[in-house]
Amino acid sequence: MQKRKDKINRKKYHSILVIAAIAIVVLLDAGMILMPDHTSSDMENRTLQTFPKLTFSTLVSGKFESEFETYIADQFPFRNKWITLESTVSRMMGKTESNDIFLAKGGYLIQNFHTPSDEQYASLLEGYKGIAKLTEGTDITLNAMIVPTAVNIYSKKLPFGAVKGDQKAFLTQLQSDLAASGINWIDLSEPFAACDKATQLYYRTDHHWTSDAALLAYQTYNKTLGLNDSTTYSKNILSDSFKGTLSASSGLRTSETDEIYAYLPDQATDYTVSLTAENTKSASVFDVQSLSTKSQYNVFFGGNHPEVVIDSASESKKVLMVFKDSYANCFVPFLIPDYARIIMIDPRYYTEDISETIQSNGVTDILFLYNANTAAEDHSLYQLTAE
Amino acid sequence: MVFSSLNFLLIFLPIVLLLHSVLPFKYKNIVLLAASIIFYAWGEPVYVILMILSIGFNYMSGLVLGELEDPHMRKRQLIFAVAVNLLLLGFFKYAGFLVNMINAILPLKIEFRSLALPVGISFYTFQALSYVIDVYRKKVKPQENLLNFAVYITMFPQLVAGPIVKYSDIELQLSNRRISRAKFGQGIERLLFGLSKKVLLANNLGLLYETIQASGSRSIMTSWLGIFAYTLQIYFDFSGYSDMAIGMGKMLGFTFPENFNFPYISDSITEFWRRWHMTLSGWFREYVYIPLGGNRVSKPRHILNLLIVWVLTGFWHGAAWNFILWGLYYGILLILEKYIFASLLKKLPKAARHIYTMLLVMFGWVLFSNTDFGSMRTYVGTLFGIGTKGFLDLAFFYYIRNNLIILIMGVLCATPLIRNYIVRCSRKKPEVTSAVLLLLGILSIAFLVYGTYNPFLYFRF
Repeated sequence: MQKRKDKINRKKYHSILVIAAIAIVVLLDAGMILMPDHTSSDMENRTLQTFPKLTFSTLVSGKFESEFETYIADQFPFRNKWITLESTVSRMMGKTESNDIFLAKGGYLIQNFHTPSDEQYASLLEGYKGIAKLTEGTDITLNAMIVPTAVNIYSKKLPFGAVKGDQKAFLTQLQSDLAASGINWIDLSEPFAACDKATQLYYRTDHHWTSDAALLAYQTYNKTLGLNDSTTYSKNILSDSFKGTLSASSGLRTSETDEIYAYLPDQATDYTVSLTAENTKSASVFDVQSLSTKSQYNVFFGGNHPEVVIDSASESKKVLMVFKDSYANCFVPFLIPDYARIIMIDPRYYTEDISETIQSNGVTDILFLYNANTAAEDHSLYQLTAE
Repeated sequence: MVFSSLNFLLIFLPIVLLLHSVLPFKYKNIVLLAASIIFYAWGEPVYVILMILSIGFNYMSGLVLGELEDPHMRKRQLIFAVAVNLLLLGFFKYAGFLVNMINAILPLKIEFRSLALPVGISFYTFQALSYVIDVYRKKVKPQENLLNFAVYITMFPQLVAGPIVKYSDIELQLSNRRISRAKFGQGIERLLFGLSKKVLLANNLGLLYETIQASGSRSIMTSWLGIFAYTLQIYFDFSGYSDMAIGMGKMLGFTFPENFNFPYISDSITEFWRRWHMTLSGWFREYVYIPLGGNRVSKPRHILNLLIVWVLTGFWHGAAWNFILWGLYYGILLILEKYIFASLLKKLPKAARHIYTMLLVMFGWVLFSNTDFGSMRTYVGTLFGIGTKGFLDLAFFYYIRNNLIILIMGVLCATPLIRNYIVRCSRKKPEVTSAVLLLLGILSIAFLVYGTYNPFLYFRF
């Protein structure tokens, strides 16, 4: 009797599997066919593959096939929901890391740091040395402010035992090697570590530092270089709906948002911002339009540009050149009253003759301003001086 | 195309199964052949030509062997057929390896442009060989229907990763097979088992192993955790693929041989190889080991036979020295077990025998997974405390914590416990059990979609 019932149940079990599996496949396939294709994804901040062109040559070369596979995946019905399902399940299973980003305490997502290999490090150093060499025999002062990132400063927030690169050691090493090339080090590790807990130095969902951190860095910059600093600021909110790159690239905490602030000096200095490559001028460091895009951090200067020149009505005669990554974008506005001209160079995009630019602008000061991750990974400074 | 992809599972396979199920029998093999060729050509159409040549050649060889009467002529014909098959395999799979070796030994510098390895060539060559040898041995009649023969060689479920199906296994099914709902259901069950093993377990375990291998300095325990994860990964990867193949076979009306029988519950290396990749070891036994004389020869000759078989088995896995070393490693272990450890092993308690087996198997995977000797030496070193930072580090706990459930599930699924439990449940609570299995399938889809998650990171250049 029991045997017979078992057999009937087993049959039922297989029938359910057949019918339900067919139903699932039919539903998903119907979704693929009926739902309109999207051309871009907000969540992933990229264009999506549309139906590929089918010709004899794309078929034989395999281009059609690989684009077709991407097409199926990119246009998958409710793609974002599936991704959320995966990250939810992974999180439930104890995973605290995704795409090199840690799910940290206090709502923070924190990007890992990777120590460069010896060869990579040597070539990074060559970049700084190359710039230092261009200034030999001049009075140009050289400063480096390499910003420690959250994985270093907020290491206590990381999941227990998290396997991370040793950013402190990297910065210590870089500091002493730069000193040997006559580049002055502006240390942020100490003030950042000592700063009170209420100050949020990094965004929770993004890899950038906040304007609070940039202000603290500006104060440290002045203190280290012995400059006086009496400006007062008011804090203005620019956005409360910022979803950063870390949540996008990890797929974690994708519904959380951050606030973006800016500190505006109470006594404004007049200035103009020129984007050399784009050949445009503006009267503000803020690009308000960016706030209505996914990349809200681009509100500072509209993002990264090969060369940005800021001329101000400052009494100072000094001309500052900043070699920078996107961390500089919320920091440089603080410097405007202190320099007659600031030239921001993003070596990742800059293709002009840098020594010519230094000379023709009469540069008096050079600042290297990177976050430690870019400093450990980006070789473009080396490429800039290698020619 | 790979099984664990959205386009295969949701587009290709459903279309093939639909056509194969609804069309009358005389069209079924045409559907299957067309599907297999599209499957094979997808993304790399050139090598279809090679496969078609192989089909034509072996089909003709079979017919000729069937016609010939004279034993000498038959033997010549067989040697010719085997040689051509092996030369094709040798040229595409091993030429680069041999040229490198010659360049290293002799003061020569032979230029060589390495070719992409044709997918599945190791598998379909062995299937073709089993066919011609069995025809020669008169174990099977030559297949006169070219379509049926082509279906046998190209059959997409097992074309790229096995099981290695001998011609005699499916001879009858090629010309007569029945599909029932129960069999179809069994097929789906097996496919879902395989898919979950591959996507949910193997992929995540693989990620853990990669992370640990890439981490510069690690503790001894972390190194062992890494190779433990790889041990589970390779089993779920490979047996998951075999499960999917067997499941799809069922849905198409075929019964393929089993390929894995819970190898990690073995109590000896000998037993391990009776449970691991059974169709491959079966193939080598039948077509290499026994023709060499098997164990019915003198002791030294038997040892030699074993070494030959195992070096070849290793070499079959890839054209690199580490695979040969891996094969030799097992050859020696099997000889030792046979002639020296046998009585010793019997005296050990079961748990100790199991630990002995798994440690050796795990160590074997270190040889298997490192194709260059430098990284192999480094990894072996870290297992024994050379170049490590201590016995245990925080990272070990971090990796365990992040992968605890995957690791536990991995261990459980490597034993028959979970599978038997599911089968038992399916008899008592068919609704719940099928729902759980389908849920695993849906989860696998989510993991596959996530695998294509590719956010554009504007902060990277």
